[in-house]
Amino acid sequence: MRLLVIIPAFNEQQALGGLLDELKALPGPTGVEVEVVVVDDGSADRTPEVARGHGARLLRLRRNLGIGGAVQAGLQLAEREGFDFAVQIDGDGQHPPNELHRLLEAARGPSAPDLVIGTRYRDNPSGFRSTRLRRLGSAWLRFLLRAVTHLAVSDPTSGFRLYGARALRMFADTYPYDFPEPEALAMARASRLRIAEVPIKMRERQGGRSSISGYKSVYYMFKVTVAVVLAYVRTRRRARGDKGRDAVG
Amino acid sequence: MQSAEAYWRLSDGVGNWVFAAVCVMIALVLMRLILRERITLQGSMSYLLFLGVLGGMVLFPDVTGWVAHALGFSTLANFFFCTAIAALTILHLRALVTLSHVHLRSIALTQELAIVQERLDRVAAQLARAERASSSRATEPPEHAT
Repeated sequence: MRLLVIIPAFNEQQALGGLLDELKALPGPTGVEVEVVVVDDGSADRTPEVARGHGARLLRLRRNLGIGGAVQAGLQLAEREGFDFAVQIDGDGQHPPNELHRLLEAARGPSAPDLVIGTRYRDNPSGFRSTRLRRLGSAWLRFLLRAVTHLAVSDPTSGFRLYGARALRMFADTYPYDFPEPEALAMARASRLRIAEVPIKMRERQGGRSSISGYKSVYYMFKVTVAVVLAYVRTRRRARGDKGRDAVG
Repeated sequence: MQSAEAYWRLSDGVGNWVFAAVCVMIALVLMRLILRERITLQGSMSYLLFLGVLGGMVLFPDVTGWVAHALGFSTLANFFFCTAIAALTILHLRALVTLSHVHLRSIALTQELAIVQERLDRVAAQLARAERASSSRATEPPEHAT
C-alpha cells in the first residue's frame, strides 16, 4: 500500500524543514510505503531548496496557483503514480505529522471512507482554539454545508485530509482553486463519496503568515458561499450526466 | 419645436464625421496591434465588427433612424447608446469566457510542467548515479585471477 504526503507550500522556508524532519522521524505505518512531495507554489524564498535539502520530492509550480492548484498538482502526481492514498498537510506546521496515523486508521477501517478530514473542533484533544472570526466563519460554513448538501462536518476548512482512491481520481481531475476546502467537501458530497472526520491535535503555525486576513476574510466568506452552492449543483449535474451515459452505454 | 428630420439626427453633419473618424482611428490602432501580433485577428474580429457597425450608424443616419423607429426608439441617441452598451456587454462577456478558458489552461499547463520537470529531475539523478557507479567500477583495479 502506498501513501503520498502532499505539502503545499508558499514561502514556508521557516516551518518546512522542521515539518519534513518530523515526517522523516515518524515510524512507518505497517504495510504502508510513505513518500513525501512538497508542492512549491511559486515561492520567492528558499522553500524549494529546503524541500530538496530534506530529501523530499519537489513539484515546482512556475507561478503561484493558490492552495487549490498546488494540492491538485500533488493529487495528479499521486493518481498517475498509482498511490493508494494521499494526505494533504499544511506547510506551515499547523498539522502535527504524528496525527497522520489517525487519518490512515480511519481510512483503513471497516467503513473505508473515501475522504477523511482531521477536525480540530470535535473532542479537541489539544485544546486548540482559533480566532473568534475564524470560528464564526467556520460556523457559517458548517451551516451552509448542512443546508445545501446535508453534510454535517465540524471542521469544513481543515486542510489536514486523506484522500482514498475514489477521491484521488475525482480531485486529480477537478479541484477547486482559491479557497478550496469547503467547496471540495460540497463536490465530494455531490459525488456521493464517503466522508469521515477524525479528531486531531492542531498547533500554532510554526512560521510564515496566514493568507486569509483582514479584508480577504470578507471576500473569502462571500466567494466560498457562492462556490459551495455552485460546486454542489455542478457536480450533481455532472454525476447524473455520467450515470445517464453509463446507462445508455 | 424641432423638425422630425432634426429629431432623428445624431448631431450635425460635422459631428457624425468626427465620430466616424474616431472609429476609423481605433480600427487602425487595432490593425496595428494585430500586425505586431500583440492581439490575434480571431480575437479582435468581433471588436472590428463593433467599430464597423458604430461607424456605419453615424455615417448613414437615415438608415439608422429607420431601424431605430422600427424598434420603437423615439430618439436616435437612445438607440445609439443602447446598441453600443449591448455590444460592449457581449464583447466583455466573450472576453471573460476566453480569459477564463486561458486561465484554466494555464493552471493545467503549470501543473503538468511541474510534474514533467520532477520526473525529468529524477531520471537525470538516476542517470548521474548510474554513470558515477560505472565510472568508479572502471577505475577500480582489476581483480587478480586466483
